[in-house]
Amino acid sequence: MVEKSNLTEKFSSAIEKLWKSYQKDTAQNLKLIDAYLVFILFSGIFQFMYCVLVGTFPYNAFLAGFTSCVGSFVLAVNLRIQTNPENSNEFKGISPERAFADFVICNILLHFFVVNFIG
Amino acid sequence: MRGSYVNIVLLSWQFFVLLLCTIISAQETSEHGFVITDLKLAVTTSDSVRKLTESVKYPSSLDNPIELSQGDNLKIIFSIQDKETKKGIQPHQSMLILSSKQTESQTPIIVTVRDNGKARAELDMRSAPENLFSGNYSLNLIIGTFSHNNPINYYIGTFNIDVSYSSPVLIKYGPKPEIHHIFRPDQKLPPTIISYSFMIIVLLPWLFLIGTWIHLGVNVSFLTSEPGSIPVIFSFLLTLLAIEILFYNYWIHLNIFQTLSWLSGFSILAFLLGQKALSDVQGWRLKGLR
Amino acid sequence: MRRILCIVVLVFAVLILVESKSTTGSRVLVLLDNEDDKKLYTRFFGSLEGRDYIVTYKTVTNLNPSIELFSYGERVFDHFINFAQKKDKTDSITPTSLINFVNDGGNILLAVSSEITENIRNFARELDIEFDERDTFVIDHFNYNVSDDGKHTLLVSSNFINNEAILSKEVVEGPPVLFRGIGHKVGSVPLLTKVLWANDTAYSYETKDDQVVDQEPLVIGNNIGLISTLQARNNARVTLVGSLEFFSDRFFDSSVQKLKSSESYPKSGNEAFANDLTKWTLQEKGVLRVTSRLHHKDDEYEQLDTYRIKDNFTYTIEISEYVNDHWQAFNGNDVQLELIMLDPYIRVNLTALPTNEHQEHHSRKYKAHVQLPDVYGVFTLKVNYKRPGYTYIVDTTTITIRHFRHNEYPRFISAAYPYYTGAASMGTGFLLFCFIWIFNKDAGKSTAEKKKIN
Repeated sequence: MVEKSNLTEKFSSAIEKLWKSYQKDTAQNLKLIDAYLVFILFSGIFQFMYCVLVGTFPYNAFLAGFTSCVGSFVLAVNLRIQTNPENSNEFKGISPERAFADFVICNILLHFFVVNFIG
Repeated sequence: MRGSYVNIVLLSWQFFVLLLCTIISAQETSEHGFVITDLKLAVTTSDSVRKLTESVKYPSSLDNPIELSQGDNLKIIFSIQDKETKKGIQPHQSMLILSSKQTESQTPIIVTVRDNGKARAELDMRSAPENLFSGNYSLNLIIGTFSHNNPINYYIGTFNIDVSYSSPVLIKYGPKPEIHHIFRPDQKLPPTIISYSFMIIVLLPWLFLIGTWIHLGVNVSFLTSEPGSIPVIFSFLLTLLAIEILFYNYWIHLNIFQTLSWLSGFSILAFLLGQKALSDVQGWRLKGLR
Repeated sequence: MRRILCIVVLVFAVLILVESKSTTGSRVLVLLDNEDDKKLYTRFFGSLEGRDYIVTYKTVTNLNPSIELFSYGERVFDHFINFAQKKDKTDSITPTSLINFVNDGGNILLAVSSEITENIRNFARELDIEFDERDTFVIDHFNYNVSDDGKHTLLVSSNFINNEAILSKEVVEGPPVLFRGIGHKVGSVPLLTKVLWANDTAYSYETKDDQVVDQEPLVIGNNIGLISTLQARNNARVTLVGSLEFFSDRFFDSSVQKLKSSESYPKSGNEAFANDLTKWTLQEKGVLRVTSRLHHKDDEYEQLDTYRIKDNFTYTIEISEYVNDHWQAFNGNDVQLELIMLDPYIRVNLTALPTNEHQEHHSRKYKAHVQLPDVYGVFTLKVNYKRPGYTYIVDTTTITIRHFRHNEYPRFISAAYPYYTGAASMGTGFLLFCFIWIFNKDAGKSTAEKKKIN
């Protein structure tokens, strides 16, 4: 019992440490993307909850709405990875602006498919 | 030779009477009738137990219907006499007929009549006629012969026959019952209140996004600090907006060909403007402004 | 061109004028025992010839010319009336030849007496009709005519079928008919129709003296068929009459009075009955035809090959009946439409539309509105009208029922609003994000870091 509470304490302190280092070390423009990611994540989760609650009836609409979230999330994650200065060695030839351009093109394509599908 | 002569005389005499009767009056012909006496019915079950015995006095009928089930044996005995001479006679037609009250079908039971007028008939339900099925039947005794013009159609009583098999269904041309297609039920929609609430719930992350961005100190400083690039960047963003509005219109009313032609125009514009805009942004970064 | 057309029309008009009243042809073969028999049925044959039939009389005793129903595989007569009781010597009237004749669309009227030949009996058997033994009569001690000869076989019957296609109202309500002859048992085939049958007290047996009924008769009571008809699936008609005398002048003119009945009629119903019966047998009445059929969507007028599931659909069919030598509007009101794909999905009664009294109508419209089923595939629209007395109508049309097209499904459903919102939210979020990403200046970024990056 003591050990368990000890473990949780350790765990929470680790989380706290992580959070603090995130607050301190992460650039603001990455935090901005993170906020955007969380926004997308919850939009998706709420739609999924709704689908679970009322059934899959306009299934195509659900798929369109949900994939628009998933797709946006994936694209935003890509953008975050490619614009992160820490990863600049891995993406040598790709400037943040180039990554952003990819992000925009892919989003436009994604929205086109979503609109096609939403019915 | 003599016998045949007598026969002929007899026959012609009968003819004469017949003719006379018909000519004089059609009503008054009771001279040549029959009388039925000593009518008895007995039903025994399949294990030879006597279930019922009834005697009926002509011309009255049975008071209660008689039940006949599978395996039963019905025996009927009676004697036929000439009404006039009171002698037993042997008519040409002596038949017991079961007439179904439901289907109008008739089933005969053959009666054997001896010279002295004694008659007996039997209906064995173990080997019942094939067109005898469960139902209500009326039993009639029909007596008729050529020499008599007063035949008898005597209603004896009702029989309820109960057998395990039923009549086959005959194919008959005629209107058939209507068939209505049962459609699959329409998809049930959830209450609109739930849909509307979730519309709002799905919009809730916006509060988080705006809140967090404000908290992070998100700003639009380049808007003021670099006014030279504003027109290009704004045009770029406006083409993106135009594309999104085009998608909305595609959803509402446009078809795919209209959409694609518009989209190709916008995307070329967006590509050119985007290149210029993003190189400007890159310029800011290289200048160390970002 | 026009002139040729005119000539063709004229030729056809002339042809129609000399045509008999029958809808299937005018060549009749009458088979008799011998030439003199013709005198017994003058009234009957007179009425036949009066209706523009080309009647050929032949006798079974005369070998020359031979009796042929077919010549080089072609049917040479349209109708066959058999009054002969003896076996024909050329042996060309066999059950097989009669069956072939019927299969080829020929109509047959067979009148038999108690001296029925085996050939006729076997032919009747093919039709699921069983005649009683030779020398038997239908006997009824209750319902014989006063002129009976003591055998109680001259029956008085008014057990007519109440079917206007076969017997007109005047006959059904008219005087009873006289019948003396053999009885038969009618099978359960739905193609058969009993036209005249015996009373409940009748039985079929030999009439010899000193004999009692000790065996069960073949048929008794109202099961005894006196006159029965069969309409084959190809609409060919066969009529079997158990009494040859039924058609005789003597019976036509005889008075009718049942024994012990005060009702008497100066003239029997035989002549009118025989007229209706031959008219029916030779396809002069009870003949139906479909003149047109049309289907379309409820709100359109164009006939399509393909409809969508759940379409509201209208079907119209026009039916004529041949009555009194002309085509007129059919009066039935039990016509049904079936929509079939292997099984019937829909069966509805068609509504008979009223005809305008002032206009002459040759057909009646029958109409139904249905909603097509929500099953797609190739469907058959079938009007399968089979009723005793009328020629059969089996009219089929094929239509295709297709699925909803992708843009025919319901849109903007309330249930999908959250998804629409989600997608819109993503689009707006994207635009806003782009705007912010470009113009946002990272205030917290230290110069040292920037240098490191560059």
